[in-house]
Parts: sequence; C-alpha cells; structure tokens
Amino acid sequence: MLIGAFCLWHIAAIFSYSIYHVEEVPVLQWISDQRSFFRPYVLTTSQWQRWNLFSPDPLRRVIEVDIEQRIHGQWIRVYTLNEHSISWWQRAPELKTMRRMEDDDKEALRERYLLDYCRTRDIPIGTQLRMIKRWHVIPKHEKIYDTEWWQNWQPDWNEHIDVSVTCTAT
Amino acid sequence: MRSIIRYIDRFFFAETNAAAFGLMRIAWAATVLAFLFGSAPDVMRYYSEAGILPAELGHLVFRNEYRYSLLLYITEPHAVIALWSIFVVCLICMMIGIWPRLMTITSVLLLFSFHERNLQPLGGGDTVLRNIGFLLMIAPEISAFSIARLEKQWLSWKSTGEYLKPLRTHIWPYRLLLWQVIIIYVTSAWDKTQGTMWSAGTVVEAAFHHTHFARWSKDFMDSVSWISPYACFYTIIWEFSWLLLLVPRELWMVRPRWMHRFSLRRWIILGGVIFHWGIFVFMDVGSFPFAMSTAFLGLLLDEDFEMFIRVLNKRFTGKIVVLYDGQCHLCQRSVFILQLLDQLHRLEIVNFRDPKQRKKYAAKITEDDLDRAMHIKLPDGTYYKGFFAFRKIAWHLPITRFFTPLFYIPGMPFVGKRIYARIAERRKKCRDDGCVI
Repeated sequence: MLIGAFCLWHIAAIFSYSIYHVEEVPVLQWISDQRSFFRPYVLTTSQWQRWNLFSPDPLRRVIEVDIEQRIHGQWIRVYTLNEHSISWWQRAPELKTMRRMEDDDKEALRERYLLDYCRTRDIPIGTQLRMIKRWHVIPKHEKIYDTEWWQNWQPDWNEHIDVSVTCTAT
Repeated sequence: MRSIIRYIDRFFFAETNAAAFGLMRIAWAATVLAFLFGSAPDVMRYYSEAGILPAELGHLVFRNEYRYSLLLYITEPHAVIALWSIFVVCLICMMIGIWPRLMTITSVLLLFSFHERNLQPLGGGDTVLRNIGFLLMIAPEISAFSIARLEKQWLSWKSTGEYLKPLRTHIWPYRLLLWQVIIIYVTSAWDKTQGTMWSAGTVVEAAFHHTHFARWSKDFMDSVSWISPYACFYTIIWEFSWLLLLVPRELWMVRPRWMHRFSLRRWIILGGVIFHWGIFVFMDVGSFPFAMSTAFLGLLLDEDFEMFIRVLNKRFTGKIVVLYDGQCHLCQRSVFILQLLDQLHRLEIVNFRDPKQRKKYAAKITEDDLDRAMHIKLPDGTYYKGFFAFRKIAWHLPITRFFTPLFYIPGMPFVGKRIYARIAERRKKCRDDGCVI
C-alpha cells in the first residue's frame, strides 16, 4: 500500500516538475501550479528536470572565448576556448560551462574563470589577463536551404572585450 | 471496488524478471565511470573551493534550498580528489556487483553530491543518470549479473547441484522508469511544438552547423544537411509515440490480429536506439545517448529476453554436448561457469565418468582420451577437443562471442593449445579453494 502510494506520489511529482508552456491547457496548467507542493521532494532527491532539448528552437548562438595576456604593454592572445582547444572527452562539460557563464549577470564567474586560468597555468601574480568574447548566430530558416547555400555560408563573427583580472594568489 | 484494488495491485506488484535492472545497474555504473574519468583533469576546477565556482559565487549558479552535497563540506582540493577516487571505487564495485545494494546507494548519492556542487557542466545525459540512478537506488532487486549473486549461485550449485531460480522482482520500478522516459520524450516533443523551426524542418541543419555539437567538418555537415526535414519529422513523431505506451494493454487488443505479434514498446525502444545513436554519429551531445540507452535496458521485460533468445537461436537446432570430468574440481567449476554463461541454452553438460553417459555420447572415444582434454560434440556429430572445443563453445555464449574472433588470429591456436595443455595437465591438483596451475 505504502509502495503504491509512493509510486503515485513520485509519478505526480516529476510530471508536475517537468511540464512547461501549458498556459493554454487548463488541466496541465493546474498540475504545473502544484509544483511548489512537490518542490521539497523533487529538489531533495535531485530529481529536478527540464527537457527543452534543442527546443523550442535550437541553440543558434555559437561562442568562443579568447584569453589575452598583457605582455610588454601589449595584449597577446594566449588561449582560445573553443571546440578545437579541448580534448573530446572534456568538450561537452567545458563548452557547457562556457555557454552558461556568458550571461550579463555572470561576470563574476568569468572573472573567476580567468583567475582559475592563472592558477592552473602558473601565471605569475600581478599578470593582467582579459577575456575576449567572440560569437556568431546561425541563421534561423523557415524553409530548407540546399547544400550549396550552406557551402557558401560563412559565419559572421562579432567580438567584444569582456572582463579583465590581475592574477592573484588564489 | 475489489477488482479495482486487484488491478492496482497487479499494476504495481506483478512479478517480472530482475535481469533488466541488473543490466541497467551495470550500464549506469559503466557510463558514470567513463564520464567521471573524462572529467578527471577538471575535478579540482569544477568541484573544489580553489576552482571556477567557489562557494561565494554559488548564488549565481544554484538554488539555496533543499540542496544537499557532501562537497559543501569537503572543499579542499585534495579532499575533493579523495572523494572522487572513492566514487570511482564504488562505481567499479557497483558495476561488477560487489555489495551491489550498498555500492549503488553510495554511488548514486555521490553522483547527486557532485552534480549539486556545480551545475554548470551538466547536460541532459547527466540529468537522466540522476533520474534513473534514483530508481536503481530504491528498486527492490538489482543484484542480477553481480559477483554477489555469483557467490550465492556457487554455494547453491556446490551444495545441491542446482542453480538458484532466476531473480524476480515487483514491476513498480519498471513502471516508474517507463514514466520517467515518457516524461523525457513527451515534454521534450511538447517544447518543440512551441518553436517554429521544428515544424519548418530546419532544426537539424542549424544544429549540424553549431560547432560545439557538430562532430565532423563543415563540408561534411553541409553535405548531410538535406536530412534535416526527415530527421525533424522523425523526432517529433517518435517522441510523441511514447504516449501510446500509456494506453492499457487490454485496449490494444482492438488492433487487427496480425499486429498482435508486434510489440509496440519494443518498436518504440528500437526507434530510440536508432534516434540516439544516429545523433551520436553526427553530433557530440555528451553522455545523453549512453544515459538513454542505459534507461532502455531497464525497460526490457520477460518477453524481450525470450525474444532475444528465440531470434539468436533461429538458425541453431540441437545441443552442444560438453563432456567433462566429474572428478576434477577445476572442471566442475568450469562447467558451473559455462552453464551460467549459456544464456541461449545451447549446451548439454555430460559427466564422462558416468559410463552410461559416456556410452551414449562418446562411445568411440576412450576414457583416457576424454581424460586428457575436454571434448564437445556438435549437433551434426562433429567432435572437437581441448583449445578448439573451448573456441567453438565461445561462439555460442553471448558474453564471449564478441572476442571469439581473437582466437582465430594466426599464432593464437599455437599459444592457446599450450596454455590449455598446461592447465589440463595440472587440473587434478585443484581443490574447491584454488588450483596450483
């Protein structure tokens, strides 16, 4: 009896916690509204989830990050964080980390990323580093384009000087 | 009312084969282990106070309630590496099945701890591993295909000459797993209908040109972009098709009779295997295909295992007679292992020390010859002995089948024959507690 009740509870909890965009379906909206009721259980058991995989539309913004070091008064690029600079087994988590720290309110995380670069590369204390963010957006198509169109397409890169830090003893 | 209660009781507590969750335990541990090794160079960076996410910046990344992680207390880099190493050991034990229950609970809780410490590197596959890890942790029977189970089998076989009955378990963990998988795909499909590119069929061509995910060069991805509308269509239809598994089995009887022999669940799972490994060929999406394939293993039922055996035995009739020495301890243990691995039920084990049996299966072979090496008799009457018999049997055991071609590499028969002869020569020195080879 207890196990049956637990199963029903778990089924309801993860359902309520994973539905989005249900404003036009009253029943689903009501279930979604019960989320706060299931919140302690779902979060405590680490069962939180959201399945917006390549949706509603896929991620089209491609970013990469350059790290520049101040050497003899000039900024010299010392590292580029992109899919080519990371081993294949580290690619998914590291690129995900880069995408997630890109938002405007995550500036402190990007500074910390630079300080971590100082630490892991043994860069002398007092050295200045800065981050250059580069990005382009893959076009959004409402119809299929042929292979030739894609062969002629080239990304239109933008560049932005982002955060800078002075290496410290972290 | 009573019939409703009976239906609910059957729905959650009917018995099913425990092998599926045993396989899922192994695959889960192997997947987590593989990706944990991948993150080895970054353990300090991702999870320690010295890394990219110290506690003071945590508010930018994670919630501040109902969050539990050992790594909130273990923050010093070397201590984090020590915990990571313990995690690796637990996963190995979980995979091979040493204290499967304890190791599964510890491994799942450690996975939660690492994930809750830093959400930034996590992807969909990590979420799936957390979700199905929780189900493994609470499932009543997960010890199939474990060392712990092997020990029990050996004790039973040694004392009674019988194997234990196949493990059975209640079906409710399967129901929860199926629900979890339905949630993943159907909510994902629903989310896709909220955009415009999936219905336009242009998602895959855009994703193929996202360099974070594309596995091949731009030229190659350009040339395969034409599959985009078909892949988009397939994805939406297949993801929504999981809803069909909510239809009670009784209602499916309205289908035409010729359709009854097709299992909808099996076709949908097969569609999932094609879907995920198709993505894997073209795109790097982290652990997602591995995690979903792990979940699919847990969705196998009795009828699926029976179907696998039926299909693999389609072109095989009869039995392979294995003539072994019933007076030799090593031979008895070998036969014990052989029978455990004989999932396709193709072997018939015969003790040649029994005169009646010897007369029936190997009348033309002397006892001295049988004593020198293991003999087998194939259904067509052909005999093989020693290394060649061992190699022949290896083709028929699912677990050894994949590396059997290695025994055909030039030079291997020469080495194999010598190793076999050495073992056979000394086999009588073996007792139940070990051998002097």
